[in-house]
Amino acid sequence: MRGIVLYASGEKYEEQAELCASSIRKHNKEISITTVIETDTGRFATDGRCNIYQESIYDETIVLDTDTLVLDNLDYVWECLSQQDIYYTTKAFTFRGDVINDTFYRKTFIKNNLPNVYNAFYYFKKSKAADEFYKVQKEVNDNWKDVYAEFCPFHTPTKPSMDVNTAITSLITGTNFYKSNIPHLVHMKPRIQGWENNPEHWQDKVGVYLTDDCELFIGNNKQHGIFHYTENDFVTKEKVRKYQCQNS
Amino acid sequence: MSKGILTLASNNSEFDYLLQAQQLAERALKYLDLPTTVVTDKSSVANTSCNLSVFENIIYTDEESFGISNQREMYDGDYGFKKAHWKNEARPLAYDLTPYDETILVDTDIVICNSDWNICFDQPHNFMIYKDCINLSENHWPYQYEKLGEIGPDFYWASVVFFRKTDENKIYFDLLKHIKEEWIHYTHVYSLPSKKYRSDYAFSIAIHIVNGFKKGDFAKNMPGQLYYITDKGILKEIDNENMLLLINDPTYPRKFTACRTKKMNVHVMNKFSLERCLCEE
Repeated sequence: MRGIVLYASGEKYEEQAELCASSIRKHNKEISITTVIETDTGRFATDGRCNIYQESIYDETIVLDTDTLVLDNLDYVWECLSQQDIYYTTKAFTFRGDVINDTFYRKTFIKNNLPNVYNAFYYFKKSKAADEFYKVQKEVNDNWKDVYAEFCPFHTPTKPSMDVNTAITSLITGTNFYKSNIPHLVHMKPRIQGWENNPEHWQDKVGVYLTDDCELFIGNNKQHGIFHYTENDFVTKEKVRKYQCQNS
Repeated sequence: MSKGILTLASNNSEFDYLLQAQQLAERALKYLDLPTTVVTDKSSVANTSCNLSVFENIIYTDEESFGISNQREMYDGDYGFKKAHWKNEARPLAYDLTPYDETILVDTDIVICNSDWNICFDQPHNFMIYKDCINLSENHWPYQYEKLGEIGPDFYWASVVFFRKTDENKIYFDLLKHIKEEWIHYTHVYSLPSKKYRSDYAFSIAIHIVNGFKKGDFAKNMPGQLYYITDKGILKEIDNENMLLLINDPTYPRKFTACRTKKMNVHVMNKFSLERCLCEE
């Protein structure tokens, strides 16, 4: 059985999760969706995320950050990824469709030669390889200070990061992630959009238009794939209402 | 399949575009073995020193087809400029006007020095255009010709465009006509820096729309490289496939670096210096 898990660490992200689920439902009528709202987030937000593999009720799972919108049918993604045990996105795109060469937010990865992975979207299949991978990932998270000191001595994060945890886990387990453009992940952090003058919030720079059919335009660029909007105030009642109308 | 060059030339008080088109036609024949058709108006023909016999066809259109006369400062090196008029709105008509099945639409101020563009006719893509051209002066704002502004889609150069007569290309050029008619609207939609019609912008917007408002594969890259100098650079000499150019330094007024090119196609945006060279030939 296939399904999508949306993980939110804190009740304040419930509205995001609702919007994300609606966007999935618009294009994927039959898929099962589980939303995990972690009310007690423990020490760090990463703690709960490390349990998703064990807690997932699906044989094959796609995990999405709640601050994403799914803008396409995911059938082709399932078909491509079902060949893998574990898959993490290693390539992201700007809203204009250019490949992001992120040096601003990825200094830890670059300075320590860590594989460039994004946890905004990932896939796993219940399997021996995935059992092992997520066991190690949990250990990395539990012992993050010691592990980071060894694997990322330069530009060391001051708190655990799932992206860094996953990158280190892949090195320890010798996992080479399948390199693919699937899915098309648009990452909206402002300093990686190729702008000369970077705003603090990308929504201050470029307009957001959601049509009544829930086609999303940023500026005049139509978005597709997975849209990782990253800013909490992107979610508005109007957007939620438009998606609800589509799915009712 | 018939093939050839199409160029558009409407003279004004400052420039003899037909004379520029003559050099283009002569070079197209020499380096590409292609005939040239020029689209012009009767008033331009009456006021030119061009030898019209170099053209395979002369297609007359009314002056209005070239659009309203825009005015801007046109430099002749960085010594000085004239407020010059130019009319550049006829390019969307290229599909309807060309007599060829396979056409290379070329600006009159491009100096052809090699046979790179012949590859167009031996490849499967029906629409090709330059995504990037190379400024012979390295000092320029790097983003200017990459995107339509800070938030817009990819920028393409309308200076050289290859197209075949296909249904898809017919839609593309019809869309260009629509964009030209509703130009002010599109300047708002794409947050363009100026309200003046610019072919590069119009072609870029049409490509973006045909691709479904996102990156796509409608437009393929033209073969070879196209180099350019802005109107602040100077063309000094043309000798067959060799050119001598003076490249300005934007950070140091009136400082030029001599640059020789060989077998390189160059877009000479300083039309004053181009016409001086043509008159000396």
